[in-house]
Amino acid sequence: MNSRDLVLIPLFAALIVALGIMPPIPLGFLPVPITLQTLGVMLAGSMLGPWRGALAPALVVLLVILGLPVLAGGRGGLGVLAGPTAGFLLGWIPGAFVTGLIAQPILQGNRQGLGAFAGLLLAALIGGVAVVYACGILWLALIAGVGLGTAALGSLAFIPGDLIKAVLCAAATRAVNRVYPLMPRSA
Amino acid sequence: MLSLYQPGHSLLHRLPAGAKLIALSLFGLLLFLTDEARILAVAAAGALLLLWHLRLPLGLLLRQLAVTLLLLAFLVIANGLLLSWHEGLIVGLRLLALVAAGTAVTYATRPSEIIAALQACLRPLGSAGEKAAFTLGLALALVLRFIPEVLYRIRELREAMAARGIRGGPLRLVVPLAIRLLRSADEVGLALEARGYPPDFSRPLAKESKRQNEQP
Amino acid sequence: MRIEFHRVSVRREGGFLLQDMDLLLQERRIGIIGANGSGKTTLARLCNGLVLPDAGRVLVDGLDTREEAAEVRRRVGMVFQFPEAQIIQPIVIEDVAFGLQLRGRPAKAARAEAKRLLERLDLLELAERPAHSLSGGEQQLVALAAVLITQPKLIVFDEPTNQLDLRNRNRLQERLRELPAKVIVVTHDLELLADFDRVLLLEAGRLLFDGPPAEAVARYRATCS
Repeated sequence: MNSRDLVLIPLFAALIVALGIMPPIPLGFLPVPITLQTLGVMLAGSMLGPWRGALAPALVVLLVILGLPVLAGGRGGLGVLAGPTAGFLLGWIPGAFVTGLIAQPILQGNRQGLGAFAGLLLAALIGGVAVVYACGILWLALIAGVGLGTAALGSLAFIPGDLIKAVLCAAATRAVNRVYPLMPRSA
Repeated sequence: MLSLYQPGHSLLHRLPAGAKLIALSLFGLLLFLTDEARILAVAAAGALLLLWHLRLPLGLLLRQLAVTLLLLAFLVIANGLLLSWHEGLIVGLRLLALVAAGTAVTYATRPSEIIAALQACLRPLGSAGEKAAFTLGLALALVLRFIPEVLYRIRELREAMAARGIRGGPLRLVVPLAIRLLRSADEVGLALEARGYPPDFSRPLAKESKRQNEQP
Repeated sequence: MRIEFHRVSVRREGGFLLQDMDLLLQERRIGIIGANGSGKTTLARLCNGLVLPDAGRVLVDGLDTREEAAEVRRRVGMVFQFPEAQIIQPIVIEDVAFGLQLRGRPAKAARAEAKRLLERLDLLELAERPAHSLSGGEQQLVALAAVLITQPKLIVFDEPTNQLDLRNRNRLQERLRELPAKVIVVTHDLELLADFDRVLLLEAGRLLFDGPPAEAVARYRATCS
């Protein structure tokens, strides 16, 4: 692993942790305040690509295993991984991977304007929202015996906040990539 | 960053970390192999006993587990209403056993012990394993090193924006934050290289003692 | 310890950062001065292989920086301009010990030696502190300790006092004087170089002057007015 990756991955892991320490942001029209932690996961996938992007939340999961209070609300430890919401945490890893998978060719190519933004938004939505929720809901259904439908229903309240985060992620990735190229340009 | 570990002398404290993790995994697996309420009740009671004998301050425990316990209660009720109360009981006991056992292990095990156990698994794989173990330790240290910096930069940016009277959504913060962090990563990467990363574990240890007498 | 530059050029889009440099550096204390963009930092970073020449080669004690980076960095340490960017490990004593661990020393032994070094440098009270909580000056001194632990024969300082207040700048200057290793110091702080053996003045990637500090500084001042 080269030194740049060795530093970037922990940096984004630290960003995920720091965003979890920040208090949730209440937005009047939303039922629940937005926690920022999953924004960090989306950004990791979006800015680092699939492999590095997945390793960042993987490091965070490792910190949780070690017993550090890195999850929003100062939570951590094996109790969380043994609990009903573990799927949402573990889902960060494939989620960031998928986000990176979709985002990387967009950043490497020369697509400008709305097309690039739409692509990055799709990346954040499919990876950071759909995949993560799929993992979380699946785990919940398996562990807690409730049907997939019920589990999915329970997660609905959080979706609007996550949509906003996905938009933020796409916009931010584009803006940052203009100033600071994140991927080696292809062709 | 302070971990959740609480120092103590209980039996659980004294067991090796690797053994605890393996035992916990097996415990979890076994819990899913049975639907017998009696067995699960015993398991849950056992796990709670484990947690209890650590003598943890109640406030601490409740703060950590509040969300999980609430969710647990909700799931029991959901199961009870949608399926059956028996189902609800099974789910509740199982989750209680899992969460209690996991929490107990976390409070009784130092993070450094867990990391050492993981590294010990990697080391026997030759010099590649040696390097992987080292890289793992370094990656962890770097996360811990970066957390205060990220928090500091967030605060710094917020203050700068407030001072200039800029009210803005998180977007106005995320972009300059990301850029600043990426630049910082470049600098740290350089420093890492200057110190001699990547390490070369395939060579035998160089003799350091003679160097003190050499002329510069 | 000698560093040789053989027709070294470093390119950058639209021009050169350094052009056709031939140098032999073996004096005990060498200074490098020049305006921003003159190539000072590039020259400094060529000395330990952080920057590789696009043309020519750099030899450190006969070792080519392109081929023997690890061995070169064993002998040449570097202290950077930004104190906090040099921190690798979160706790001071582990950051100091890190250089030894990179070279295969077991953790306990490395820590013990780091402790001894911090004691010698009068920094022991910082040992268990989180590095990010230190002042800039303290961080810079810790960075120096982290470099010294591998006993390099040469230490390159890239604008080491830029971010420091006067007291810490003076502290660093004292440390510089006491070092057993040779030093190359890139700096805007002209007083720092007053008693050096040799000072190089760079401009636009070329050597404008090479000689005693007083003259070099005078020439530099002339170009600035």
